[in-house]
Amino acid sequence: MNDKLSSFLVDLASDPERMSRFLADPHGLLAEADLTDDQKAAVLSRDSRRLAVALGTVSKSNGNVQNLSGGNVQNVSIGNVQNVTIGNVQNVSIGNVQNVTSRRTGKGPKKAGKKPAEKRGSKNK
Amino acid sequence: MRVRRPRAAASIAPSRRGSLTVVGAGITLAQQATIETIACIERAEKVFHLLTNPAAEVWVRRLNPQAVPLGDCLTEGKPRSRSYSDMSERIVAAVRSGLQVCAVFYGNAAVLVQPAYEAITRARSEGFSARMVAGVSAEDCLFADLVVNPQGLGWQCFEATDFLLRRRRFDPTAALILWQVGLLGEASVRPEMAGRPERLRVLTAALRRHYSARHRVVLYEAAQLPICEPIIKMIPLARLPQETIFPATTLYIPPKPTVIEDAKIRRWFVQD
Repeated sequence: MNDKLSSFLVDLASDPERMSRFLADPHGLLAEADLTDDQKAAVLSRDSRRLAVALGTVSKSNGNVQNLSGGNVQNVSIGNVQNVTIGNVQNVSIGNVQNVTSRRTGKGPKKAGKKPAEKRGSKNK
Repeated sequence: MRVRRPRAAASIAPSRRGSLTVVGAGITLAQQATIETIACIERAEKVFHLLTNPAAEVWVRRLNPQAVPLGDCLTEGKPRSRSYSDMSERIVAAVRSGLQVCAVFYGNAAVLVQPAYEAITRARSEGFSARMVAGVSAEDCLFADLVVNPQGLGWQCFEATDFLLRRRRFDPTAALILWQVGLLGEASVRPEMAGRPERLRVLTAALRRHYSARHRVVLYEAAQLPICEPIIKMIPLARLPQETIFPATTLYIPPKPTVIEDAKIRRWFVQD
């Protein structure tokens, strides 16, 4: 069941034209998709927690991580020496996280955290 | 002047047929994989992957039907260190059998992915060619999504448990990034994982020695799907223990202001 949703999302992610169609007319593209109503609703919501539930990587009850391999692959390094080197050279100096602009929708500045906070709160009940 | 080759690079002296390439798939499904990463996956004779959602697994399988997951190595109650060791052993076993192997991990395999390092080290120690390809990390996404640039801010990052365990010293006038805040002291994995409030209180107390209770911090999660937005939640530091913090959540702490400047260095800017 989740394979169909996964395939739908991979198609979107891999095909810029298809993504453009989705962004312009999500209902139109979803009408052609072989997905359940719940899956379509999750896609339309564009809510990462809701999509994770639809994909089966988190539980419906609290929106938390259920898939043991999912969520994070970074290792806790207790007792180990990590070979991570940071060596970036950066050229611009901006340090304000208040004016975050949506990078995908271009919806303009929004107050960082307000919307996700509401979303997450409602999922975790 | 003679340039010294890094030890790791010097150890690439393949004497056996099998080989290993470790790649990172990036965070956002399909869109953050580099051309090099895609080519490595497509050309491999055997692909192993540890990814965070089924869609990413479908994407890898489309690139190479020989792809098999490593997620079954992670089981509840099993030490994660052992799980990672099992993963790397499985990867290197395929290399030993003479195959061109590609191991795909979430994000940038070069950043805090223990099984990736273990597999590379083991393969090289046994005389196989093994290399790592850089990918897009959650940290890369964080800088872009929060629109913060470490120049002028500085930039320190620690794995959160390591930060507490080693009592890491840091400069609060530079930005601080703590990874895996939702996994403080978790030796294994379990369903429904989230940060334990009592451990988050310990972390908050450690941070409170350097920041005020009202210092604004950011809980951040990069978008895994291209139709989603990243999760960015700004809270006062004191509220951290009350938050539900997921394994993939990163804590970004903006720097405290500083006015310290070295006058001698400052003068360099006006010298001819």
